[in-house]
Order: sequence, then C-alpha cells, then structure tokens
Amino acid sequence: MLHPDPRGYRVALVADAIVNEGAASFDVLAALESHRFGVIVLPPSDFSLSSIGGIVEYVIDDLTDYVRNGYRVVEVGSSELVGFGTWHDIVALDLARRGQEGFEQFDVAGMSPADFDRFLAASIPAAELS
Amino acid sequence: MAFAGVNRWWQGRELYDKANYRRHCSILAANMVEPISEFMNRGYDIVVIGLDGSPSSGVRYTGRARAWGGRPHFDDGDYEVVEGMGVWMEELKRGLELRGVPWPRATGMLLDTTDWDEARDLPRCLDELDQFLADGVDATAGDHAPS
Repeated sequence: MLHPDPRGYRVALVADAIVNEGAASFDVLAALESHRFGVIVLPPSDFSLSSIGGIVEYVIDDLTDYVRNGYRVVEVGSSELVGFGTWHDIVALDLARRGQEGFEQFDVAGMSPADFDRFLAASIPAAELS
Repeated sequence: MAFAGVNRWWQGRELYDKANYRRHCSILAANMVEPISEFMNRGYDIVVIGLDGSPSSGVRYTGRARAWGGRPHFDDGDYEVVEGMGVWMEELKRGLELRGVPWPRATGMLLDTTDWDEARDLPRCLDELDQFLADGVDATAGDHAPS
C-alpha cells in the first residue's frame, strides 16, 4: 500500500459459518471491526475438500508470520460447528508441525457481545507497542 | 503476503512478474478450485474482489514501477497505476479456467493509489462495490479511471 500504514496489527481467523451463516447470536464482524481486527476465513468446515491441507498451510504461513511480527492473532469459532468451524484440528496439526502454539480461541456458543468485547480488548499487540 | 511476508518491500508489477512467483500463485489458484467449485455447485453467486492498483491483486488496475529494483529508493511518480490485472489475479484466472471453472464476476477496490485519501476515496470505493454487488455486472475499467 502506498498510503500511511493503517494496520491494526490484529487478525482473526473466523469460522465461515459465523461470517456467512449467522452461527453466532451477535454481530461478530462488527465487533471485530470496532476492535480493528482484520478477518481471514477458511472454506466452510462442512465442505469435503481434498485440498484443505494445502489451503490451511498457506493461511498458517500468513498467520505465523503475523505472530512473528508482533500481531495478535485469534481464532473465533463455535463448539456447535464441525471442527469449531475453523478446521481447527488441521490448523492445530499444522501449527504443531511448525512448533507453534495454538492461537487464542473464542467460542461464540453461549457467549454474549460483552464477553467478546472483553476478549478482543484483552491485550495490545506487541507491534502496536513498539 | 504468503510469498514475501507482512514486512515485504513495496514492489511494482515488474518485480512480481517472475516464474517463481507465478508458480507460487498457480499453487494458490489450484487450491482455490475445489472450494469455489463446491460453492458453485451449491448455487452460490461467486465474485472476485481484488485490490485495484496492486501489482499482484489488481483486477481492473495494476501498478507499474519500471525503475524499482536493487537498493530501495523511489521518487514520486515512480509507481504508476495502469489498466490491467495484477500477477496473482492473472494466475488465479488462468488456474481456474485451466480446471474448467469459469472466471467469476470480478472487480477491484481502487485502494492502492499514489494519492489515496481515505476520507475522500473510501466512500467512493464502497459505493462502487455496492453497485457491483447489486447490479451483477462486471465493473469496466473505463468507468473508473484512477485520479
């Protein structure tokens, strides 16, 4: 980008079903936007995809690069969805292969907008502090 | 991003237009075929929204910087936004069509310009995007010339 850096240094991996199918009881995208999070969405976790390993690998390439550079990366899904809605098992395996810890998780099931706001505001990215 | 990371240097189209980067893009494109096809099979309307002005992700406009390379240095006017697709978008289109997936309706948000002013330009970009999504018509380059 050629204009002043507007980045929020915050990225959320969000379940497709939350973004596109109303799987949360509150407006997750609006809350993420208000807290300056960018959003990454993998394909729906109920799709049968032979290519999902390759798709996840490239997404985790990005997310781990964000973490290395002081971004805060979180995973937002639901325990009521297959694979948390985020292909969580495949994400976790890929992170483990790289020796990386899992991302902070928020399960929207049974949670309120206030709970989500508290989670999103819980910490300031290292990149923002430097 | 996936190729050069979050702290990559600015590049013009010329620096991306290399066999290794196109190979990287073709792998990403191949990964996209299955989920896009599944959405199409389920009756979804698929659109591509790129970043116009970008050397890689532009759909209607891309960015050229013929003088860039080697030790980082640039002058005003080095980066030129021109009509055309970015390298990643070209490979995505090629990869989809190679595998029998028709190129979806596509447009780009003209965010990557040398005189970007968020207060002035973002509302126009969002209005254009709203119109594209509502009309179901490809945005044409001639209607949206960069300033």
